[in-house]
Parts: sequence; structure tokens; C-alpha cells
Amino acid sequence: MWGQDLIRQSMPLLLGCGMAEILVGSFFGQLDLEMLPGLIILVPAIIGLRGNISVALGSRLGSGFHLGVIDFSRSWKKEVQENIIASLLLSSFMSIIIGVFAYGTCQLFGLSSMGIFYFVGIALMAGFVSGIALAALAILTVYVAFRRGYDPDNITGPVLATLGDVITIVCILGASLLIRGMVS
Amino acid sequence: MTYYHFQDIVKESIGVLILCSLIAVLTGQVLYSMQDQLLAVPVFLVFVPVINGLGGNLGSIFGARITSAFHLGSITKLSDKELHKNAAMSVFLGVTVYGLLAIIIYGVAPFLHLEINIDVMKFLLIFILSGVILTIGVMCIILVTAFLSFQRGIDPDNTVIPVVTTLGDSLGILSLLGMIWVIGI
Repeated sequence: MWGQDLIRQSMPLLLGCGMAEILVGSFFGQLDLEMLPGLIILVPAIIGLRGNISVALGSRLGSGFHLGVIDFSRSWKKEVQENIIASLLLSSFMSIIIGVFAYGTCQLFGLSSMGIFYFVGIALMAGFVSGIALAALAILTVYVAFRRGYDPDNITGPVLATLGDVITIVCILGASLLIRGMVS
Repeated sequence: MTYYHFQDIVKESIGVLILCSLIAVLTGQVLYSMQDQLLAVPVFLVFVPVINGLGGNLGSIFGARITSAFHLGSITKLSDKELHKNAAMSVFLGVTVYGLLAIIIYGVAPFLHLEINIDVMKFLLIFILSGVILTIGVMCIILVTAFLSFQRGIDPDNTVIPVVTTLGDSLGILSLLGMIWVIGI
């Protein structure tokens, strides 16, 4: 019994997430990796960071909802505000760190790469813009789940992780085009 | 007064985020070192997020099931039948889903303007084998993490998922590049 359940309940979800990841992959393929040497290093780091920060945000909003401190009728604005400020601060700070790490490891291993301004600029722009989009999506997801009487904990994780990957790669693509355009 | 304070959230998150970011940047360096091979066969770039995303999903399902079984007491040691059943089922699920997605990628590649300029058999073998190796690797990481946590009296629910999501991405990229290297393009 348990075997059939695992297949029946997980397979559609896994296939759906897989298709979204194919979309991520096709954007990945459009990055100008030859013109911006080292850009590829930022991709797993920013996507991973986005997942960590946004899923944690969704998880906190879900807990806040269960605790009754976020109930969408009173005083929730302030709680949500604190959570968003934290999420955006972490996104910005960690994006800079990732840019510096990426440039630093290239120097350490003696690899040719684009300049530190490119690394930090692309990481910060992609990290901050995707951070705003994902924070809005997290609130929307918790709100819709709440309205429909679902437990947000069952929904925010997969929704934010999967859509987060798509939004983030689009932001990396946009930031890399913009930074390259600005410099050249 | 509010329940959440951004200062506390930032303070409590930053350590683990810095560690995860450093691991992710090193993973990125591995990708960079194989960039020429990846660009020679652009469909490989599509594989990266798909293999990683699914590996993470399969890992979190297996991890959640194993930790629940720990709490229920139905799995206590490596030789338990319940564990073998779960492991067999997860590998089966992995092979099926990776196989279906390989076919889907092959089908949509022309619409994404991706030319599949390698042998179809190599395409399928590289994708499915790296997916299956990742699934098995992730399961081993989960079991080690769960058993170690359990022995030390730590709730495995708090340790398994962060360890799997961080190490899983690195392992996914390593197994893909390993397979490209072994099977060749």
C-alpha cells in the first residue's frame, strides 16, 4: 500500500516541478557565459541562497500564522514588515558575500574571470530583485492558503522553492545583460 | 511589541547562510571548470537545474519519510526491512521520474532552440544515470545524518533537510559532470 501511495501522491508533483526546472534550464542556457567569464559560478550560489532565504521566510510566516501573530485582520502588517526587512537585508548582504567569494576563489585558484564589480553587481541586483519578488509571493501564498482554509506549511515550501528558481534565473539573466550593457 | 524582530532573524540565519553560500560557490567553481564541455552541448545546461531540483525533491520526500519512521520507531537500524522498502521505492521513483523527464526534455528541446548534438543513447544515459547516482547519494547522506542525529539525541527533522539541500546540489553537479566525463560527448 505505502508504495503505491508514494508513487501516486509524489509523481505528479515531481513531474510538475521537473517541468518548471526545465524552464529554469532553458534560461540558464541563454546566459552569456562566454562574454562574462565566471558568471556560471554565481548561478548555483544565488539560486541556493534564494531558496534558503525565501523558504525560511515562508516557513516563518506559516509559523506566525499558526501562532496567531499573523492573522490578516489585525497587527499583521508590523510582523510581516519585520520579516520582509530581515529577508531583504539577508538577500543583499549575502549577495555581496557571494560575489566576493566567487571573485576571491577565482583569484585563489588562478582562474581568469570578470572583474569583482561584475560579480558583486550581478549578484546584488539579481539577489535583491528576486528577494522582493519572492517576499511578495510568500505573503501572497500564505494569504491565499489562509483564505482557502489550507495549512500554509503544506504549500509555501514547494511553491516558493520551484517558482523561486524560475524567478531567480530570470533575474540573473536580466542583471547580467544590464551590467554588461552598462559597462560596455 | 512584535513577535518577530528583523535583528534576531538576521543574527540567527547569517552563520548557516554564509556556510551554505561558500559551499555553493565552490560548486559553481566545479561548473566553471567544465564550462567548455557544457557549452559544447548546450542541453547539458538544462540538465543542471532539473537534476538538482529533482534530487532535492526526492531527497526531502525520502528524508521526511525516514525521520517520521524514526519517530514512530519503525526504523531503528540499517538492517530494518522497512528501510529497505523505502530505499527501493525511492530509487524506483527516481528512475521513473528521471526517465520521463529525459523524454520530455528531448521532446521540448527544439522549442527551446536547443540542438541535441549528441547521440540519443548518450543523452539518455548521462541524464538518467546522473539522476540515479544523485538519488542514491542523497539517500546515503540522509541515512548518515539521521542515524548520527538520532544517536546523539538530536531530532533528525532539524538536521536532515538543511544538510540534504546543501550537499545535494553539489552532489548533483558532481554526478552530472562525472557522467559526462565517463560516458564522453
